[in-house]
Amino acid sequence: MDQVATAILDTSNAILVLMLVSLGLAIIFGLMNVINMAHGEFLMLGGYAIMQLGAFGLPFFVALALAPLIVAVIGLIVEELVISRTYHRLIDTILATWGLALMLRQAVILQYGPISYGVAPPNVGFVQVFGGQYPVYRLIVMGVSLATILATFAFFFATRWGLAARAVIANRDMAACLGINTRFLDRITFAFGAGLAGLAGAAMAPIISIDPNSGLGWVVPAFLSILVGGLGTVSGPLAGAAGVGGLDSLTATFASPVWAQLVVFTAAILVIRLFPNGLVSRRRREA
Amino acid sequence: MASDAKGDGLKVEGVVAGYGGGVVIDDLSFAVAPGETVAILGRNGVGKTTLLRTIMGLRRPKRGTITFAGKRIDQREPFEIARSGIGYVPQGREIFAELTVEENLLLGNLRATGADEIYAIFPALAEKRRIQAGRLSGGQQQQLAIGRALMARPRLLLLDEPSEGIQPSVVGEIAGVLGRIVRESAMAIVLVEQNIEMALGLASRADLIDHGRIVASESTATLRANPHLIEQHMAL
Repeated sequence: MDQVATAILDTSNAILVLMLVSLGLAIIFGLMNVINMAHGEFLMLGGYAIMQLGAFGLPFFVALALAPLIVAVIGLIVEELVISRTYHRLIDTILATWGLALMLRQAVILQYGPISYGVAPPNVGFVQVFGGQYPVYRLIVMGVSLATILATFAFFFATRWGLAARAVIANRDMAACLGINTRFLDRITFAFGAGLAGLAGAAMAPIISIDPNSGLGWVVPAFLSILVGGLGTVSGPLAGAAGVGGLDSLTATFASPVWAQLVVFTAAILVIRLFPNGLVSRRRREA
Repeated sequence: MASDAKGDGLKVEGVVAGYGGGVVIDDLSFAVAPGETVAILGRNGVGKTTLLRTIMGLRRPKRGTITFAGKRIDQREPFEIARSGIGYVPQGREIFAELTVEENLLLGNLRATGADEIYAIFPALAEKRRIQAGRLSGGQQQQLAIGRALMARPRLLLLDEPSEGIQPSVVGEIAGVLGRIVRESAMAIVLVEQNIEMALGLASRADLIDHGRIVASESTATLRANPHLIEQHMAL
């Protein structure tokens, strides 16, 4: 029983963090029509940021709060220097962000070397769950992820800026013709998406190891989540992340990580075959 | 309006615009004074829609200048042009189908507390404020697109074929509303229209466009008295 409970909690953890990563990727694509191949690197940078802040002597939770902000600022700079020059050229965004991903990885290697680092989890102990021990820190990660996802939804569906963002997702040109500052929205969208990935990387840093390639393991499932969930809505990627993350984590626990890959890709192919527009489909204007 | 009409209105001078290498608008010049309603008439494909899109900044002119209220706008972004006081109702309406009627209207002015003014003008929209805009009839969608543009209280309204695919009674209602707003607020209108009756009814002047430039400019009174003038330019 406690093994099942642990598996369910671990799976929820994996799903919620994957949701953060997918949400950032999907918002950047939906609003800006930019396919961000460097999204995994923003996650990786979140891990290095929390590690470095810890090395400076900051308390863990202060570092956890600051790391996403640092990554968001990096996102802002990258948007201004690179992304803003590739608008309206979807293929170029793939190439540019892929190059950016290489640069970020190499920059990290130059600074920190190719080795992997660990971040000590904060000393928050364990709780009893169905007779087993479960680390409280993982529950905190789930809570932070859930709160961030809910806050993102509140922004999109309960504020005027969120309304403007949804209008830009639906019809960018028309939104601009109504006086909506698409340039400003692009900047904050990219920074926010990068920040979400940075938060995921920082929060997971004590659970996984940090190395220059640690983003890669997240960005593939995140892209898969968006394909499965469907584009053009905010809820699509979340549904996709629930499916992809859940299936992956459960199969890895009860079979093996290799089976998990097989099962996830097979399921994704089936879903895409049966629902070409994704689980949460929506008609989208041709870009 | 105390200010100088020439500086306040829209002035398009020697504009060349098109898609890729092709030229659709070719050395086109025209002006609209505050409070004036100008109809742009012409056959399909002569550049009427491209003209409006170029004014709105969706197309960068290859040559020429566009000024509005005394300021150059031809190198500005669409959102800046909209904020300078130009409202745009595109062909095909382009309402946000998945958003509610009220959300569509608020997008016209994100600082507005409500859309009561528009509901007063178009009562049919008031009853449907919570309904997804995509479920409205064609006429109501057109009212919504116009209402959305009016939310920002523009000084110039660009209308691209507002009567397209709408039943005549609604066309009459829309024309009546627009006429009233022009009289009360000195808003100017540039109206691209195939429906000659509506165009002549609303506008004080009609500019005939062919091969990407204005080939004739007549008062609508003259055109109503001499319908053959229109046929001369619209036929062929």
